[in-house]
Amino acid sequence: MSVITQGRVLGFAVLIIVIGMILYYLQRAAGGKLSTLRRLPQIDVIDEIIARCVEMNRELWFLSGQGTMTYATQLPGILSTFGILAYVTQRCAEFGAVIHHPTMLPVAYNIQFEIMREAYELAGKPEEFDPLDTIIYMPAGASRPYVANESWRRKPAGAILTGFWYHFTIIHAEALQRAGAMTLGGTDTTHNIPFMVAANNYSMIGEEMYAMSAYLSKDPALTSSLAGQDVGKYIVIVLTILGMIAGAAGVDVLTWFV
Amino acid sequence: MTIPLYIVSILGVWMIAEYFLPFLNPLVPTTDMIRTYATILAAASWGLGTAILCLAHGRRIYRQTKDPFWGYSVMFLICFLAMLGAALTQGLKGTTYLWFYNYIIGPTGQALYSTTAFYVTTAGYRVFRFRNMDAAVLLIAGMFVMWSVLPLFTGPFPVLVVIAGWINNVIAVAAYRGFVMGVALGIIGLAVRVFLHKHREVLA
Amino acid sequence: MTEGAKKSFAEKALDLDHRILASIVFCIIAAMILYPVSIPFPVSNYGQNFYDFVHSIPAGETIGFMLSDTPSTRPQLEPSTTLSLMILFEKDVKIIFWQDEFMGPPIFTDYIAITEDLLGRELEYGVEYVDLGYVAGEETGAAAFLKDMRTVVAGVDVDGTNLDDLPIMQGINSGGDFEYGFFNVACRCTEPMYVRQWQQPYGTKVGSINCAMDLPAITLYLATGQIKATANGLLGGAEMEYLTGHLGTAYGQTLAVSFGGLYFTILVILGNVFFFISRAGGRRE
Repeated sequence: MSVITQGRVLGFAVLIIVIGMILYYLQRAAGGKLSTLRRLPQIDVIDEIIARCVEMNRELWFLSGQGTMTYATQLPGILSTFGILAYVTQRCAEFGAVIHHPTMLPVAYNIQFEIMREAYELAGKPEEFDPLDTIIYMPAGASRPYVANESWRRKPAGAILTGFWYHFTIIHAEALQRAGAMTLGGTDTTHNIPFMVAANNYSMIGEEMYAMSAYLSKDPALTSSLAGQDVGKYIVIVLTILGMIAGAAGVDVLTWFV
Repeated sequence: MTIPLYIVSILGVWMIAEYFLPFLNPLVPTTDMIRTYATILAAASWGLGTAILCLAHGRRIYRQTKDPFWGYSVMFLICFLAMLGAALTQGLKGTTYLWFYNYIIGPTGQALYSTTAFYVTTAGYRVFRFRNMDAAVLLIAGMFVMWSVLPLFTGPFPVLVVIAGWINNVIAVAAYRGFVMGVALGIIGLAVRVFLHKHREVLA
Repeated sequence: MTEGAKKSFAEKALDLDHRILASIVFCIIAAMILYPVSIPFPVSNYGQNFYDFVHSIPAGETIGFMLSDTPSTRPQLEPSTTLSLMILFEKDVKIIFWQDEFMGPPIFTDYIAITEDLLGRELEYGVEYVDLGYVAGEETGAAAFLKDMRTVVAGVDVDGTNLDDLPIMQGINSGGDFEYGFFNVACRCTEPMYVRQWQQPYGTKVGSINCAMDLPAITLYLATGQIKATANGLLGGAEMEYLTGHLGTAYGQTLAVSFGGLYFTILVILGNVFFFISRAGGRRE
C-alpha cells in the first residue's frame, strides 16, 4: 500500500507546503513580525464612496451577496465581507453617512448585526444604529425587487457589493447604478466576475476581496494566511511554466507525479 | 465555545487526512457517517433561516408604529403559513402546494429572472464604450462572444464562432484557471485559520 | 460642457431614460415571439457534442441524473432536459434521479410528465427510473450521497419505498456505479462541484445542462474533458429541439433573443457614436 493515495501525490505536496507556509507566517506574526500587505486602491475607493454619500446626504448601501455559511465553497467569500463590513460601517458612523445593509445571508445575519452594532459603538454613536433599518434580512428571491424598488426610492449615493454572488449580480449592480450610486463590487464566484467588473464603477476580483478584508481588519491571522497563499501561487506559477516547457518538449509530465 | 471549535478542527483534519492517506482506510466508514451528519445539519440550517425571517417580520409587525411598511410583513406571514400548511397537510406532491408552486412561485421567479435581460441591455448601453484600451478590449471580446451564440449572426458569418471559440477556449480558460487556483488557495487558508481557532465567526 | 448649459442631442442620447431602452427590447422580443420569422439555424459545436454524447450512451445502461432545475431557469433548460430524457428512455436507459436544490422536486415531477408526453407512453417507476429525492448539503451532501446512496437517503426513495425492492437499484449504491451521468444545476454555478465529487473520484463521464451564464466557467472542464458535453442554456435547448425534430418554445425564443442581440448591437454602436460626438463637443465622462 502506498503512503499517499495514487493520483493525489502532487495535491498533497502542495497542500502541505501551503499549510506549512501559513503556519510559518502565523508564527512570525505571533512574534511581532506581521507580513506587509500592499495597500489596495479599492480602499481609497471606499473612502471616496463614503465621502460622496456624506456630501450628497444620501445612503450608502452594503450588499453582501448570497449563500450559506454551511457550504465550504461559499464560506471564504462570505467571511471576507465581515472585515469589509466592519470597516465601512465604522467609517460611515464616524463621518455621518447612513449605511443600509439588506443581507441575504440567514446564518450570517446575527454576525453582521453584531458587527454593525459594535462598529457604531466604536465610533461613539450607538444611538444611530437602527436595528430595523441599518441591517435587514431577506431571502435572495425577495432581494431583487427590494433592491430594484428601494434603490429607486431611496437613491443611495454609493454601494459596495461583496461576497458570494449568484446570477442576480447584474440586477443589483445595474439597479444601483440607475439610482445614481457609485459602486464598488467584488466576488470570488467565477461565473459572476464579468458582471461585477462590467456593471460597477470599481471592482475587486476574487482574492482582492480576501486581501481587502485582511488589510481593513488588520487581523494577523488573515494577513499571515494571505502570505502563505501567495507562496502557493508562486508554486503554481513555477509548475505551470515547467509544465508548459515540458509539454512543448513532448514529455508526459503527469506521470512524474501520479 | 471551545468544544465546538475542537470538534471542527479534529473532524476537518481527519477528513483531509483520510482523503490522502490510504492507511487510514479503516476510518472510512466513520468519515462517511460524518458526511451524512453534515447533510442532515445542512437541511436543518434551512429551518434556521426560516425562523430568522419569521422573527424579523414578526418584529416589524410588533413595532408597526416605527415601520410604515409593516403590512407587507403581515402579507409575508400569511403566504408563509399558507404554503407551510399546504405542505404539511397534503405533502410536497399535494394539489394545493403544487398550485402555489406552479402559479405563484414559478411565474414570479421567471418574471424576476427575466428582468436580467432589461438590466443587461441598459448596462451594455452604459458600459460598452471605447473609453480606453481596457474598455475597448471588453467591448470587442464581449460582442464577439455574444454574436457567436446568436443564430442570426452565426448563420451569415460562421467565422464569428471560430473567433469566439478562440476567446473562450484560450484567453478565458487561462484567466479562469488562474482565478480558480487563487480561490482554492483562499479556501485552504480559511481552513487553516478555522482549524487553528483563529476564525470563530464560522460558529456564528 | 458646463453645468446648466443646454445638452446636445448626443448628450441627451447618452442619458436616455433606461425605461425607453427596456421598452424597445420588450417590444422586439414580444414581436418575434408572436410573429416569428425563419432564419438560418447553424448548430454550434456545443449543441452537436451534447446531442452526440446523449446518443453515445449505450442502450440499457443505468445512469445517474441530478435534476435540480428552478422556476427561474426552467424556460431555458426544460427543452434540453426533457428531450435528453426522451432520447435516453427511447434507448431503454434506466435513470436514477435526485435533486440538490429545494425547488427541484416539484419541477422534476413536471419534467417526467412532459417526457412521458414526448414518448407517448407512461414510464414505469422503479424499473425505468427512480427518484431518490432532495439531498441537502451541497458539496458535502453530494460527496456523501455519491459515496453511499442508501445511507444518505435512509434506504428509501422519495415515496418511502425500500430501494432494495426496486429492480433499477440492484447493484447501484454509489457514483462509481454509473459510467455516465448528467447534472442540471440551473444557474447555481455548482458544475465544478460535480466534477470534484462525481467525475474525478469515480471516473463517470458527465454531461452538463446549464445556463448560458455558466458557460465561461465550465469551459475549463470542457477543455480538459472532465465534462464531456454541455447543453448551453436556451441555445442548447433550441439545438436539441432542432436536432431531434421537436421544434418548440426554445427554438422560437432563440429567434427572439437573436433579434434582441441585434438591437443590443445597434444600441452599443449608437452609444459609441454619441459618446465620441459628445467627447468631441467637450463633455468628459
